[in-house]
Amino acid sequence: MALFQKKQPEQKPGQKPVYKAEPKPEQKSEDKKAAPAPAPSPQRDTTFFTKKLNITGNLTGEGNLIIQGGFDGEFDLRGQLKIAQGARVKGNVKAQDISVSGDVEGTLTASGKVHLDSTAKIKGRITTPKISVSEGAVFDGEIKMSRATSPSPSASSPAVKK
Amino acid sequence: MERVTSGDSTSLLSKNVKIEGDIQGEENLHVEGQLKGSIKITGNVLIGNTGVVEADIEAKSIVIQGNVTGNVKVLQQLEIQPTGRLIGDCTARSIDIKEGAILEGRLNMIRPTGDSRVTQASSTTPEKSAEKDPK
Repeated sequence: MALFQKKQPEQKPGQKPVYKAEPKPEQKSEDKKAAPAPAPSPQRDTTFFTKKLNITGNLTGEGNLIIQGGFDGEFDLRGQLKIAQGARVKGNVKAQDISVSGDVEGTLTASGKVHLDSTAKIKGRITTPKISVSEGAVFDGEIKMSRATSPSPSASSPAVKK
Repeated sequence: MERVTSGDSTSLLSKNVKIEGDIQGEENLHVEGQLKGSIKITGNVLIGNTGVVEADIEAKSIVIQGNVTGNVKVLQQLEIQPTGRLIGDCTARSIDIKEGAILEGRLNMIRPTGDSRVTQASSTTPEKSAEKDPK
C-alpha cells in the first residue's frame, strides 16, 4: 500500500485554486454497462445524482435528470428522466419522458413516453401515451395509456431491438 | 471550481431544478439549482453561482459561489468566493473568505488538537466576519 498516496494529488490543502479554462471530462464513468441503449444525455442541463447519494423529498424543475442512487419522494420534471440500473426510486414520478433501468416503487406519469429497460423492476402504476418494454423487465402493476397531447419531439428514442 | 468537480463522481443539481428535502451521500455534490432541506455528504460540496441553498450542510469541504442560508459544518475547508454569500454559523478546520464575499454568522474553528476531534466553540462574533467584507 502506498503510504500517503491516498489523497488525490490535486487536493492539497492550502493550494490555491487554479483557474484553468479547460473543461474536464468528469462524468466518464457514467454509463459503463448501466445503459446498453444510447443514453439521452445532452450534458448542458442534466442533473445527475450518483450511486451513493440518497435524497428524500420533492424535486421540481426542468431539464434532464439521471439518477443512479436512491430517491424517496416526488419528482415533477419537465424533461427526460433516466433511472439508471441500481437506482432505487420510491414515490410519484412525473416527467416528460421516463426511461427506467432500475427499481421503482410508485407511480410513473409521463407526458411523452416511458421505456422500461431489461433491468427495470417496477411496482406500481404507469400512465403514459407511449410505452416500450424490453424483454426482461419486471413490471408488477397497472398501465394506463393516456392520450398524447402533443407529438413529442423524440430526438433519440432508444430503439428496442430484440 | 475544478477542485470539486474533478472528482470521478460528482452529483449535479442543475440550474432549473429545485429540491425540497434531504440529501445524504458519500460523494461530491455540485449545486446550481435550488435546495431546501439538508445536505449531509462525506465528499465536497460546491454551491455554484446560480445555486440557492437553504439548508444545513455537513461535508468534507465546501466552496460557496452562490447563496447559502443555514449552518455549515465542514471537516476541512470552508471557502467563500467573491460571489458567495453565507448566512449562518459555520464550523470548519480552515476558512478561506475572498474579498467581496458575504458572511453573517458565527465561526467555530475545529482545533487541531492531539486527541481526535474537539469541536470547541471559539469566541467568535459576527463582527469578526464583517472585517472580511469589502472596504
